[in-house]
Amino acid sequence: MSSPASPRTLVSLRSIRFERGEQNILDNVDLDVAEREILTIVGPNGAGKSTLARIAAGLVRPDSGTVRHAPALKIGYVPQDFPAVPTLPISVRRFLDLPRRLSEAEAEEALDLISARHLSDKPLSRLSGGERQRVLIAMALAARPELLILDEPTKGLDPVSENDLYAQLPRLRDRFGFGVLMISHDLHVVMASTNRVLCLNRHVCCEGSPRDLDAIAAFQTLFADPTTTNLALYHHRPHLHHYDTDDRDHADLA
Amino acid sequence: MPTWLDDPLFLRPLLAGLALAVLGAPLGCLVVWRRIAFFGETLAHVALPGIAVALLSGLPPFAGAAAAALITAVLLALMMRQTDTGLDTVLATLAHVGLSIGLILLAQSRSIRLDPMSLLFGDILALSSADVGITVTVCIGGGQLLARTWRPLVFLTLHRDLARVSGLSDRTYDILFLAGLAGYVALAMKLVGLLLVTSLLVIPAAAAQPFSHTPEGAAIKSAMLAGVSVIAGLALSFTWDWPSSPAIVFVGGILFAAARAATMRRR
Repeated sequence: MSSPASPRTLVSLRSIRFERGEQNILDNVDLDVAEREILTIVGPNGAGKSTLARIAAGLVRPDSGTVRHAPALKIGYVPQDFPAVPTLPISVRRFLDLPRRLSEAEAEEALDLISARHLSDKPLSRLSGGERQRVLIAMALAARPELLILDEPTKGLDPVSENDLYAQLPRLRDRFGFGVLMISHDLHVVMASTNRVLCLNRHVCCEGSPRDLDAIAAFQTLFADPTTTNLALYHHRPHLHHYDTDDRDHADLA
Repeated sequence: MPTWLDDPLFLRPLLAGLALAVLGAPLGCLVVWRRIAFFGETLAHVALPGIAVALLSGLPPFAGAAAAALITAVLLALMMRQTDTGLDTVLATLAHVGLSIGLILLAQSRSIRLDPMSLLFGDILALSSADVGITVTVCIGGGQLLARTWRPLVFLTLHRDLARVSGLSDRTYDILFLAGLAGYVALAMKLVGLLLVTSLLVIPAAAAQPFSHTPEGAAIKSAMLAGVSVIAGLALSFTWDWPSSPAIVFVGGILFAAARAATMRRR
């Protein structure tokens, strides 16, 4: 296995600021994803995770800051929700053809990767939430992406399939060589399959490898308890790189 | 055999109506899937002041209708991205203000000897063979354009973000689609009238959905239902002297109800 001295950066966000009305959704956020890296963004509800993913995917323009993609970067995006269009009749197989017409072999392979071949002939509007999520992942993988952006990819999946997906992700990464930007709120499950974790609550609170977050038990309990979730990320952890980007937040918590 | 079957007064609207039914089917499917029926309604209503201005300045009414609908379509396509303004309110306002301005303009001008009723509900007797020729030609051209943009339009309808990440420009396709809708409205105006134009799009498409398994299948079935509405509607109109455009819509309504009843029994 060859590993280049410095892996290519796929997407690079600098000083991202995003406001909606008076509300500051993202404030001075930096983020990089390198090839073959799995970066997981965690944070409480309303932390701006999905917005950040959409900015990284080029779907939303930030109010300020820069978004740089590697030249001709191919992005696979798995959105958090899929608003059903119940009146539009289309099978899973035909749905996969929409970005680019796939050969039968390509479509089968993409569905097999997430064990969803049996869904091929099903109408899209009849899928369960978990099935829909699998199909979205298959579509993203079929595009042979260099950067895979997953916004809560396990939403609607049962715990077994959820574990499956997280276990499979590093394998898929090894096989296809893409980088992954993943959003999750179930931090404990995601730990094993991620290279780097970024804690977001409107700004980057902390960043490090999951090994750095060695107090996983503490993390888990803090994440499980919604009342302390916001606070959890601000506790100083000696192993983490702590970004004091904004003193105001600390004042809020004092 | 009824005598009107080889009557040009029957054959002209039949030809134009069938062409409009075939082009309107895929357009109508997209309208139904996107839930933008009111969009078509608004485009039709704002065409009226366009017609009035065209008539006042001696231009063909079709040009005025198409221009007004096109301008509105492009403006709406650009506005669609800022949906937090309450789009349905904007559409309702535009539609009714447009209709009112059109009626005022038409009433002002004594030089126009045109019955507003014929604009609102269609006037098949005024359909010349040139009109039919234009309608059929534009429908063929429009159909080809739609066939070429069909897959991206379906993708954008199903999931805008996924389509955009795959490299489609949603703004370009929105403008194309709404411009196509505007052109269709202007074209269909003479046959069915501005007030009933969206029914030609929406009713057959809505009736066809439950029996279809693919987007194309839905479009084809919708075209067949629209064709039946046109043929049966015109036949009713010539047999019993019904107003033709309401007769077409009436048949469409019956087909829609029958389709609904059939799906309810199937469940």
